[in-house]
Amino acid sequence: MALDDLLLDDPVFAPTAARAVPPREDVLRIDDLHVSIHDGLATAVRGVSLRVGAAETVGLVGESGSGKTLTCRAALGLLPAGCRVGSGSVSFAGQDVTSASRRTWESIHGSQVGAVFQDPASYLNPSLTVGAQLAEVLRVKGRLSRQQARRRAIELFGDVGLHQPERVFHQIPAELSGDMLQRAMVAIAISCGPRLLIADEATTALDVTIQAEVIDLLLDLRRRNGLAVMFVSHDLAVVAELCDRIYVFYAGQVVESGTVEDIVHRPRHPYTKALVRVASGGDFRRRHLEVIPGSPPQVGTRMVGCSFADRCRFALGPCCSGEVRSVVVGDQHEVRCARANDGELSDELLAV
Amino acid sequence: MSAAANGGVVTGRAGSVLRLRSARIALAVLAAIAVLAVFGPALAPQGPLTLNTNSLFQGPSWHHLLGTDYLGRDVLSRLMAGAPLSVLTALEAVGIGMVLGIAPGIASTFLGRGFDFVANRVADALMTLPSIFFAVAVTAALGNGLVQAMVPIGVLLAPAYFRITRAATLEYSRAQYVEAAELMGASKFHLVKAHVVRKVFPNIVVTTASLTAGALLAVSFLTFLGIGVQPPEPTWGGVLSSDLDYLSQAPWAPFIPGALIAVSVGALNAFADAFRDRGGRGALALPPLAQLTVRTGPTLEDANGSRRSVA
Amino acid sequence: MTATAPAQLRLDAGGSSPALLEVECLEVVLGRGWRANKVLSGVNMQVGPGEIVGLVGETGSGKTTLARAIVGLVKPKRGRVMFDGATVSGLRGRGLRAHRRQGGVQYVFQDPLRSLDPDLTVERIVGEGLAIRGDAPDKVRLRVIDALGQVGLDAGLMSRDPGQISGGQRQRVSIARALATGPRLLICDEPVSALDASNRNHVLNLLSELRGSLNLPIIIISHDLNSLAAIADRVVVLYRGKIVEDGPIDKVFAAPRHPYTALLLASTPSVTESRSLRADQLRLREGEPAPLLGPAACVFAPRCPFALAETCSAQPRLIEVEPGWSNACSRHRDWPSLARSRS
Repeated sequence: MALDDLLLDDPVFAPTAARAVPPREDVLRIDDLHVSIHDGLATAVRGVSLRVGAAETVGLVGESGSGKTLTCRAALGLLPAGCRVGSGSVSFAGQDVTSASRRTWESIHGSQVGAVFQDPASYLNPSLTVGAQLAEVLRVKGRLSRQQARRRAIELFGDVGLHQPERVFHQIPAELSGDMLQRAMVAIAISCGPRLLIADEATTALDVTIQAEVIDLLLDLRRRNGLAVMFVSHDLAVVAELCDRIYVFYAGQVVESGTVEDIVHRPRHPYTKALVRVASGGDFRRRHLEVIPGSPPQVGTRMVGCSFADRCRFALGPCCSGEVRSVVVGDQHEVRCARANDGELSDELLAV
Repeated sequence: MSAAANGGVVTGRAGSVLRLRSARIALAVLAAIAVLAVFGPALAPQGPLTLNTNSLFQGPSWHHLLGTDYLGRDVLSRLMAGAPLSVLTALEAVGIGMVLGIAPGIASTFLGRGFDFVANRVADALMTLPSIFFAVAVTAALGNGLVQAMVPIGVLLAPAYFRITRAATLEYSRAQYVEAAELMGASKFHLVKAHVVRKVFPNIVVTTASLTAGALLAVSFLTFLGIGVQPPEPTWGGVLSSDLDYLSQAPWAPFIPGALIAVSVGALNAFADAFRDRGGRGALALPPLAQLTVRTGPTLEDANGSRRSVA
Repeated sequence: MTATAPAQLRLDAGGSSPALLEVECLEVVLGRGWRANKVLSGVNMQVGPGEIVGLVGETGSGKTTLARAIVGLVKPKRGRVMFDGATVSGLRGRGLRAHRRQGGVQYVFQDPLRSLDPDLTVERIVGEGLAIRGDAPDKVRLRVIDALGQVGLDAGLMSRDPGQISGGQRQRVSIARALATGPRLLICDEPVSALDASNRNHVLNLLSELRGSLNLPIIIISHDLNSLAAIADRVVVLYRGKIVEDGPIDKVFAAPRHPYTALLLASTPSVTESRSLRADQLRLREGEPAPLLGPAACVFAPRCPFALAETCSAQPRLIEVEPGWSNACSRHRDWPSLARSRS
């Protein structure tokens, strides 16, 4: 593969394999993260812990206001104004970056973690060609010469599946379709060989056929470059297609986490079960559409007991008092439910 | 503009403008000037025309708080008495500008391309005229009076109103809710009345504040040149002008009317800025405090809850 | 097989009533001169009472333009739109306003944040169509309460403004506004794509109910095939301005006759189901050249792994292979087995 050859020869970038971390060390690790919004008025992320291993694809699923996007932004050091990490830690390959300075983040962005977001057009300069923008990253971060950067940029465009990469190099964003722009963004994000790519609703605005192609692209990049992916989405079906493990977010907490198998076929949290039922229908048959009664709590509402209790048909007394801790119920499978160890509940959830 | 009260917290536009300290200061200054504009001559401690030939060019003292001028007249009284002329004529010019500019601005979005083209060209033509010279020319033709001087200023302010109103109307007329109303058979008149007018209002307020500042400067300049008023009638620009004539005897003197004009103009612009920043829609409002409650029991949330999501 | 005439009036759709909405040979061109873009060409469609028709297609397919042309926001270059027997595509000015004031056809927009005036109360928003019509204020108020009830909203919401209610409620207000005038056809442009998972199905179920209780035909533009499959009766698939398939949704989705429909289905992500055909079996692959068939060729040919010069050099007509099910693929019998045999 041309990209690998280039990496091996290039003095600036050690090939991904040689830079691979020891298999047990996580590319990204978040421990008990708390993020406050509106200058501390409310807490939107309440004790989230997650990890992404090398070459793993991990999905963060939840509705708007569930805290998944803020968690993702905290992991990138890109929290919006008024939001602050209250407590907890974020580390990349063992390096704690929770209170990292801007300089530290500048060195981390691109070389350790890359990101793609929902609307690629707003992240690209509309008056410069996409090639120039990618080449700029390569020259500044990769310290490549102009010639090398140009060659490398065209290589990267080819790797992300853009047809006629030499032509695309000279096009401005307005001349490219939505999917081509998103591929270009992926190219920029992986250009400096990061170990982790964070995709925040990256396919939400794309057509379904293009979404399928971008998912294939991400899987391909994982296979070829050992790239780990953290994929944030409200769409459980997309996450299930792409990811190995899933974290389900609700009201600022992770309510369940596990492998795709566990989450989809053996959910232990009523909200997860409801999400799975709502997302089902891949067989395109006429059916009654499931609804989840009620609506998620407003961001920042202080909860006593389980945050899902008021919408949960399995809620009992203990659900509404005291803190609900996360309980391990299987290999890599955790659930935050007061009745997690209740056999009756798990039977009910397993029933169709 | 309605202020939606949520648990007693005023979240409407008027409320959010007043939260800015700069707006509060500016409004205080403007209120003081407004009082002077109306009651100035009555409030003046001494007659503005009273000569005191034995106390010329005096500095500030208890008797004359801002000193006296080259004829021994009390500067403070002259400035206070001069306020109505300066301020009210500036407002008059702005008023003429509004009348001539706003209606065509709104109409040009709805009356078709022909009208729009003509209106734009008229505005372009007017904007090429230098305002002061035009005012001088008109007074030369029509006679020397402040009213005659302010009418051309007003006419030349109209294009600014036209442009701004037209731009705002265009933007709002493209809104999807306007299209939705169109789909229900609304006439253009209904669209303007129901959806556009109240949204253009903030732009007009901002424009008015800025243009009043400009008009005030124009009045000062014209009276400085001696246009529009006959001495010894006091005006701010006139006082400034005569002070400059006697600069060697009283070097501090021009600063006083100059500062007064500058402060007035500054306050107007500050208010315009504050209003533009806060008076518009879209500021991310805090969730009403009353709704940050503590949930204690399994209650199904009432269907009328509202949510805000953080991007 | 010789091509038959374009799909005829479906006189047998759920009874003997003729189509309420008829789109005939519609052609829409946007832009002028060298920038002119034929967004729709030769589009024929009928919608009868009490059916939900899903309109699917990707960016550039023309589905939104078709919906806008039906309500007169876009003027067609050729062809016409007929509603209840009368041609409405030629209406202008006063005639158009009079037709719109009758409120027979209503439109629900995608994003309620943009389609509802944030300065008006829910009551004024929902009653706007009636106010424009000149109905008496107390009658309007009653009708507003009624419409809100039909979408499952409490009348207490009337005094709030859109910023104070949730996303799902906003979209329901948008639907209530459309229902207030007693429409006979509803067009919804991506009605749920701006909503969360919790809210989506509420609204979709509501639309399904309305179809039943009011016998109201609804055209739903959507990119979400899953949701459509659950509630729609028919599906119309658009590609680059042409209809490529039009038929009963359960049959079409079970065994699509056009490769583009199959590609859409295969690309839809799924939580559990494994598909009989994968998306990459339906796409051109690396190294497979796109067939060069000239500008008059089948509109999908540049992307189609099954295109052949002999059969696909001319845009196929929409052929009704089964009553009520037509498609525009000249190889519709061959390609499925070819696709299955691709690795």
